[in-house]
Amino acid sequence: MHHIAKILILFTTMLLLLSGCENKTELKPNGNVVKIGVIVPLKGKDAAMGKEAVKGLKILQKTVPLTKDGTRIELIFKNNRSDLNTTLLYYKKLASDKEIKAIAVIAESESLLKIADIADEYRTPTLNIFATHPDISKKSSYISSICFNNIHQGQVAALYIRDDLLLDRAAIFYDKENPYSATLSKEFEKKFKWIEGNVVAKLPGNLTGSKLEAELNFLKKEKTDVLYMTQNVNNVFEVMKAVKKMDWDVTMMSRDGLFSRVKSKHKEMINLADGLLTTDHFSNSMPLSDLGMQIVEKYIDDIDSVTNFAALSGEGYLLLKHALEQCNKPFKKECINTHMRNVNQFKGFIGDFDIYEGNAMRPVIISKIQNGKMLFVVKIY
Amino acid sequence: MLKFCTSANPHKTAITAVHYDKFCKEPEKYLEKSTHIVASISEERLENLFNLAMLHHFSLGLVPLNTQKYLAGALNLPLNVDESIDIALQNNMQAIDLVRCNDQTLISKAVMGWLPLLDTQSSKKSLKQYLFDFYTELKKLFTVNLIPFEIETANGKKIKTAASGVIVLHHQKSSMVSKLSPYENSLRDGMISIIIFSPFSVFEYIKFLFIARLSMKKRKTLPTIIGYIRSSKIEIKPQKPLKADIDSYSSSSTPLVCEVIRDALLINAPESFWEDNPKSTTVKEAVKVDNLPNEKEIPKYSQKHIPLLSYASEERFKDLFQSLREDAKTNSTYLTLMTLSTILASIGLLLNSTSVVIGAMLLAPLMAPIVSLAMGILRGDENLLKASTAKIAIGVVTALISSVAVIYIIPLTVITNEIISRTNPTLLDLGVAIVSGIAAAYSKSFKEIVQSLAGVAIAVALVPPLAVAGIGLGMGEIYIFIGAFLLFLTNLVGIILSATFTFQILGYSSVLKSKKSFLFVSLLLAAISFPLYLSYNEIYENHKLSLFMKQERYLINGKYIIINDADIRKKANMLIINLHLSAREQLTRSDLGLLKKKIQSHTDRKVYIKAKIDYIL
Repeated sequence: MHHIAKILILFTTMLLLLSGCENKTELKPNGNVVKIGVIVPLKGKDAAMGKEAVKGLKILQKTVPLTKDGTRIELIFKNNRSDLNTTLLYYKKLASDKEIKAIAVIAESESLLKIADIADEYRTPTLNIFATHPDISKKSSYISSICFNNIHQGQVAALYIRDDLLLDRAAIFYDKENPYSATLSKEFEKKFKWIEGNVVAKLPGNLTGSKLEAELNFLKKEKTDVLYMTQNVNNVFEVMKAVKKMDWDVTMMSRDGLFSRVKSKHKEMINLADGLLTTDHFSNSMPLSDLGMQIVEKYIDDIDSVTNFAALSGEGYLLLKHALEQCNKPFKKECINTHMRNVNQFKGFIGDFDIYEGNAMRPVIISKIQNGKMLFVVKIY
Repeated sequence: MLKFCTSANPHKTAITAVHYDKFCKEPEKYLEKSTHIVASISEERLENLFNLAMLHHFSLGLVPLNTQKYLAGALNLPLNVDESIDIALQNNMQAIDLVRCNDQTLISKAVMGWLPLLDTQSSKKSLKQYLFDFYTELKKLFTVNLIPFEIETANGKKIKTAASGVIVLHHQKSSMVSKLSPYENSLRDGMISIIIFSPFSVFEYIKFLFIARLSMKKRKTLPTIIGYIRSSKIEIKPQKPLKADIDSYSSSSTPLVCEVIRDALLINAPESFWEDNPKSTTVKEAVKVDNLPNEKEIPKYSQKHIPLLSYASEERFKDLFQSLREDAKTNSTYLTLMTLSTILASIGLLLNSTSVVIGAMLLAPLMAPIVSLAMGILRGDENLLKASTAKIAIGVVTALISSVAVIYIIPLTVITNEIISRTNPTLLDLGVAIVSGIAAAYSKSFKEIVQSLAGVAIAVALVPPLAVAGIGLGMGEIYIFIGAFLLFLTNLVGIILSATFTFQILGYSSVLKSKKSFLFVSLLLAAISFPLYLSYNEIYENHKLSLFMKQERYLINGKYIIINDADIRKKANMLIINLHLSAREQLTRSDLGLLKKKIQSHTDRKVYIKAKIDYIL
């Protein structure tokens, strides 16, 4: 036999042996089940958000259904119908159930703030997926947030506008009555002024018609560079429509969840959003973590179909699983809570993040909406 | 049908009609009343008529049949019957020569041997038939043989050569074949011409066909694959018998003896014909066979089918081979230039001066022996191989010693960007070397563009990597030595291989190729491709990381840090990252430490960061 043939055979054998060395032992269920309660709006104004969240949770549950020791994770879904009282009712019910080891709440800041008031009483580890009000995790030592908070979001928006875009005259649209919008606007304003930016005006987010036009004309006259909008989606679009009507070329930035809401609930408005910058947890065109890439490859046909709600909920599932794995049977609630509130370099679906005292320290993603898509611009962390 | 000119007509000529057979039986009977015959007859009859015309001294007016385009072409006659009758009846007869090949009359051309896609008959064909014929002819291209030929002229000159085919031309002014030679041929100069085809390769033959088909005007020089002989008598003797097609209607076999009979026929032809064929008695015999294989080369060429790519004899490219042999010799000038260019390159690299490094590239004499080596490999020329390999090896050692010496003499031990950039060769560098090798071989082949070699030397830059390797040795930085020497090897192997291939395409290979040398260089190429691939992958990964970092902003201790640019290079197992940052607030060591920690999280390699900070005011 030729030497070359011998070498080839040896080389092939080595490759085969090496490929066989990879540890591919599949995890087998041990017959045990651990239950997680999930309060989610499947009806009412936040139904679109709730459905996307369920989608994200289910994909991750399908991907990794078992904890390291083979215990199956069961998700018990409760539909709060986008109602604050129903949310509280289900929270109390689930927290009182001994079999429920943790609760994930998919709701806005208002509901989470109310839950925070009672969470310590029920001593059940609670995971806040979307609500970004900074007081949520402060109020209770049993609530951990996987999302960033408004202090971080507002500051980053201000820094990006000032130092990256080099714009210095901003106007803020906000909803005074909404705790989310109010805190986000406040943090933005504070930071923007701190870095020598000029806030031309702070305006109510619900302005419409001639009043809105008059205010916008004033802002244009005042050479405003950027409109920062934290009010609800419909009102953001009112402003955008009016700006387009005026043919005013001004930079506009809005807050987390906006694109996902438009995409899942107000598709007809998507074209109006062209050019709008957003701060968010996720962008469809951003580089994902290795785990994220694997999941997309295996379970998701089109990455553009993934919303911020689904991505963040999926990441929430991973955090819950991680905490459960640190507290193998009997899955004590205290243990789970401790491991949810303090996490270092956690490898999520979107990327790495830390949780310190229940507050997530995670990147803010700046994206630009263009042709109905969310285009990744920068990641700030 | 013959028209016998006895009755009145618009030309005021009496015309009598007579059948060809009757005329041939009793020509004297008809020639009593007339001395001019107008004929519109087939080729076979035409030949007999020519014989009778020579015997009985009557003049001819020819009216070509529709199928006799070659006849019309030879005598500039119109194919329109009325027009050609007008000409045939004019009183403007002059004498023309007649060529006899093996006792057959030749009007336009005789063809023998293999001439695929050249000797095609133009007739109306369907597209399918045309494509089929083209395919058949194309297949023939790959079975063409060069056959030994012996050709003898009237002056007794004997030419021994090898050819795929020969065309004997009497007169065919507007045909493609007649345009192939720069020499005029006439029906009134007492000469016949032959064109001898000796393609050395299929590639060369195809190139020739393109030129021949596209050429609208007569050529000023002979194409490289053909020879030309003009004489009053030519004897063509191929080593093996060949069929000779004469004017596409009759044939003979070789040996073919063609002879001119001066002023044999009196014919009527248009004025343009007489202008194109002035009577001449001063035309001399011509033999142009420099492009053909000589007697010594005949056995090499005639052994098998012509190859796809050309081979060349050393005799045909004497100057080039002489120059390549000179280039392969090691002398003091080479060593001096090698030393000087390496010293210059080393200083330029240490000073991080691109212009000085370019100066060193221009001074470097390393390209010449590499090109010689390429030719040595192609032709299996051991002397050229040994001499050029030795010269390159001596040059490499000289360069390494010189650059090590520079490091010992000059107390500068900074690893500049110019140095670092030559320690990470990739497949792209191999690409540069390959293109440069092609350019080098091409420039060397043509005297008029040989000055372009300087540009090639800059593109591929042989000495600076050697200087960097020497610097690495001098500094004791083995990774610099390995990286730079790999770059040098990349350039060396890339140039050798592509120059060898280019020389082959250009037709410089010998009949006996050195498969071993080729195999050796190919193996070397395969061997260096693997580390280059890995290196390319690494650079690609670094580039990805750099792009990734540019899409990140860092919030460290409340300070917003923008990465404007990130240049990432590998050094041993470390990543050296040059960052261009922007920030509003002053960054402390602690801030930069945290920044490094965040950047470190992107890679498993240890990072070493150099940062340039612009402050936003």
